Amino acid sequence: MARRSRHAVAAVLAASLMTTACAAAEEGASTSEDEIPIGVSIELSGPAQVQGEAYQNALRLEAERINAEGVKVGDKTYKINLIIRDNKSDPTESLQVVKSMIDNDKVAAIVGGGSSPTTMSVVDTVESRGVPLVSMGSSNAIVSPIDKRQFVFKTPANTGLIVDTMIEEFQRQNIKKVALLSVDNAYGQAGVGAFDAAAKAGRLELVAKEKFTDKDKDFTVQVTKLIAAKPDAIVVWAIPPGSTIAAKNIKTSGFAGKVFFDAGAGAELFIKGAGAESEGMFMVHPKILAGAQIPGYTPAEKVQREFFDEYTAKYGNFSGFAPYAADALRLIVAAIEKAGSTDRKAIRDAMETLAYDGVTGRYEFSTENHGGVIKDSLALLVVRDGVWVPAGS
Amino acid sequence: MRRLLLGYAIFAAILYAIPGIFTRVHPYTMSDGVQMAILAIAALGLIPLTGYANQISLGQAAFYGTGAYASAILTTHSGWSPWLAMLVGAALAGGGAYLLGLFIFRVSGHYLALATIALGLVLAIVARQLAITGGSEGIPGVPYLSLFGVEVVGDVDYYYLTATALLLATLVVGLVVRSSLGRSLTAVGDSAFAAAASGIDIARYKRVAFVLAAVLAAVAGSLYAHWVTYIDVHTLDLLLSIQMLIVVAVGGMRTVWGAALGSFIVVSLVRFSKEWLPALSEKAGGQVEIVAYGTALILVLLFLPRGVAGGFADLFHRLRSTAGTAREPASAVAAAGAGTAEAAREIAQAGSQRGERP
Amino acid sequence: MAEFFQFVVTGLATGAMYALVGLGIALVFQVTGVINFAQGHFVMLGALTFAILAESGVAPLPAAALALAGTTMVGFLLDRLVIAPARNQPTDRLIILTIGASIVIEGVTLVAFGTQPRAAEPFSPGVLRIGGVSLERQYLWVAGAAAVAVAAVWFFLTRTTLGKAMRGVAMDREAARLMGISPSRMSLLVFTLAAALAALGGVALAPIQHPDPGIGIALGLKGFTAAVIGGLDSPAGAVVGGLLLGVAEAVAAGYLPSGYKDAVAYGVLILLLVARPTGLLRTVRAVRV
Repeated sequence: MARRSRHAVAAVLAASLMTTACAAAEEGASTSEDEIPIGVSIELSGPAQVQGEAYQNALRLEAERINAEGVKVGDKTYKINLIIRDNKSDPTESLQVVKSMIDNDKVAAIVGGGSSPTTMSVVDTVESRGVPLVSMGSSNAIVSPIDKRQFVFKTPANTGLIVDTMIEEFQRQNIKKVALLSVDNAYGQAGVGAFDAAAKAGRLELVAKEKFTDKDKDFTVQVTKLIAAKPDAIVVWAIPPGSTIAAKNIKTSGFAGKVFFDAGAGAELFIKGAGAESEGMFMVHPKILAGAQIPGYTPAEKVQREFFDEYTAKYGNFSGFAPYAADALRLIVAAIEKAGSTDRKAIRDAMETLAYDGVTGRYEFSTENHGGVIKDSLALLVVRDGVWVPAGS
Repeated sequence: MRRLLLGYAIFAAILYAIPGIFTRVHPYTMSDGVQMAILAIAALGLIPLTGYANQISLGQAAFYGTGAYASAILTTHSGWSPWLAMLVGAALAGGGAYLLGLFIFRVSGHYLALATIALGLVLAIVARQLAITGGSEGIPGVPYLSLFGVEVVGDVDYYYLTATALLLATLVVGLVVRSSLGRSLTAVGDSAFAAAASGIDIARYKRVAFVLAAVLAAVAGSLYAHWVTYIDVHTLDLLLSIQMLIVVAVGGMRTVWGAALGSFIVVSLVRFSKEWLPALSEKAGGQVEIVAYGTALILVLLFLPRGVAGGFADLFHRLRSTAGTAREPASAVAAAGAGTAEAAREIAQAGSQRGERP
Repeated sequence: MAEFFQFVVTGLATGAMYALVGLGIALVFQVTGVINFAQGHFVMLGALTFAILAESGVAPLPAAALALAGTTMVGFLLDRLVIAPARNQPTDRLIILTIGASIVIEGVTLVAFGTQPRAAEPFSPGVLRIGGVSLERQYLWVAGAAAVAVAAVWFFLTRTTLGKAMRGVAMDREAARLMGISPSRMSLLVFTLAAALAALGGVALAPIQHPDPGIGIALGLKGFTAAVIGGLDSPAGAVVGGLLLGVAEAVAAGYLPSGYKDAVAYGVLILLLVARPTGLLRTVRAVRV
């Protein structure tokens, strides 16, 4: 009997522990009257933490700027209150974080997740709860089918647009045969999908496809196989440090053709880690990454330039991921001001009609399109003397 | 027997009282409750396997993911009933565990830990490559579960469903642990040598425990798929397997309540640190949470080797023995009666430890 | 054919990396019976500290010495703070404790150093080309570190009294105890030594790995596989196992869809555990160091 009683005791004590825990939890953090709570679910730890840190930096910077001016809703001026939560790069954690922000913090809108899987796990929830969400994930499935994604928006360009921009350059440089090296996760899969579609439509010849995992540190074998297929150009679809290693391995293998990267490769580390080896490589990216070369003439370009300068001044290195998060927050604020309301549905409705010049580029949302910057915002960049510059210049 | 029933009655009462608490108390949400229940079911099988048979499995997520993928694929691609899909998932996981167990338990040692890690990793890699699993992008649009023709959508409703599943699963594991099989498992875990000498088929018992753990994990995975309505390779992740092991290690591996208690503690720890750490310091993100998580695990294992549940029990015993010396002889006799097996186990344990870890 | 040689050379190079991790895992297992889940994290610590110091302008040699000292200290503390107090618990609890320790190490490193991957300059930059086969020169340093580690372990175990005592514990704990060898001291020694070896490997790997606090798990997993191929309790076996694993992986990636590369590695691990849990390399074990 002794052991059984012990079990009963354990159960009782568990109950009492729970009550104490609950009592301790009674007082909760809440947002004051003139603040608009905005939830953020990003990858501060786990495999996507490099992006997460850039997102967090960008959001803090933006929140400071926005709160200095204040958010005008009707005739009242509000401040925003960012509630930043780590989703550990994990879809389940992201869901918990989002539900907690909706229930506990009564957020008006949500920024995040910072990747496709951490967004996909929450889309049904924000749809059914009616909370507008702007994701930094790149997968097209985040914003389609549109009738099931009424409250969901994203800032990165649709994968197809990036591929379109690359293909235009291929035609200019007379590149016919392309080999693709991609990271084996949702991000890479989106790139592979877009290239498969382009190859099927006869817009290019895809001679080889290889993958590497985000834990691999050497892709010599994959690169050797790609080169054996004799491509005119190798496209790398990955984020650092994978993109950095790919650049290094491709140079090491003595590949003579052109090398193209997608927007994900665009962190400073890419140039730093790959050293002189990245010289002459191309990347399709929102124009902002060529920060120092942005003239700052048109109002839109001035916005980009300011963000680039402020970010670099505050955090040292610029990150190619930072603009996506900055724009997610800017879009929400713009929608709130346009709607003249902090009501979730009103924000969503306003967002859908928004045409906005952000840090990443221009957004033209509509009832058909909730996804990302428009194609004109993308530019082809090239590494010259260790920095990204527009390829045409 | 009455005390046992009382234990389950209290457990059921707590389970069904949780919605009343979680919907009112900051910062819990009902989805924390659902996660706790699912995590507890997934980890429950580790109590007979790791707690009693001393076999570490780091592949619980492999079976959890098997259940999740079976449910997602069969319901979205083939239009099966979710319940039937759940059954198939459980059968697949159980069958896989049985096959692996046939070989892996032939020799003693900690090969299961390594084999199960590898199994999870292989399944995750394959799931990333295949079209039917949606590759790395996973499977969206998994339908909600229906019970008597009604879709279970809200977190509160889904919680009652998963809590009931947890109660049933705990009953099953409780029966196993108390059966002759359970007593044999105790013997197996503590002294393989003694067990072999007394004619117990060690491998068979380990296998049964492993299959049970796999089936429960698969059911939990199915419940997860129908709750989130989206799954991807994270359901097969090694970190999830580690989390399940932590749940029972913290809760207590030698009592059936360990999984539920551990899951409550782990999910609460995450929730509270998430809520309060950012308030303490802007810099403190998930990293500090990870440190807290690991430190808690180490401290519990060092200072409460039988988990928090075991710690409670010890505390209670100490309180009782200081409170009433008059009752002590009686309880000592009772303990001796029920505890003969326990005493024998402790002796065997001491013996095996001398041999194994001087 | 040139491609095949390239695969083998790349495989040997990454294999040397796995060998370095596997060596430490096998050493700890041999003496204590514990599968140390923190071994990959030791390598991470060595690599990360070295890279950070190098980035901030510390000369390579002092940076390496500091990385080595720091990581060794962590190994020492792991035994004293976590393993030693739990000495009387069954080994499976000790294994779970090393998992807990690895979580704490990763978490603390994240808090202290942030999430960014670091880039250390290669010791000797450039590429070695022989025929159609190319190899980053840094891999020669990795191979060198692996060789030094093996030699050091061999010398220690066969030529020093302490090392002989350690082998005694590995062969028969009870008898060693009767001979007056303290298993507790041996455990402390082996964890410290394993950490030092890991740091040595980490320093050599820093320019290749782009270390961030998250690289520990992946390294550890490959290390386990290497160690299991070698029979789990044989440091020399683990080295051979690591090289075999590296080559198998590279050749598999070369001739199969590369997405399945790791599935091959871990599939081999499962098959091996199922078919021959004592490892592939019985002959190596006979002369185990």
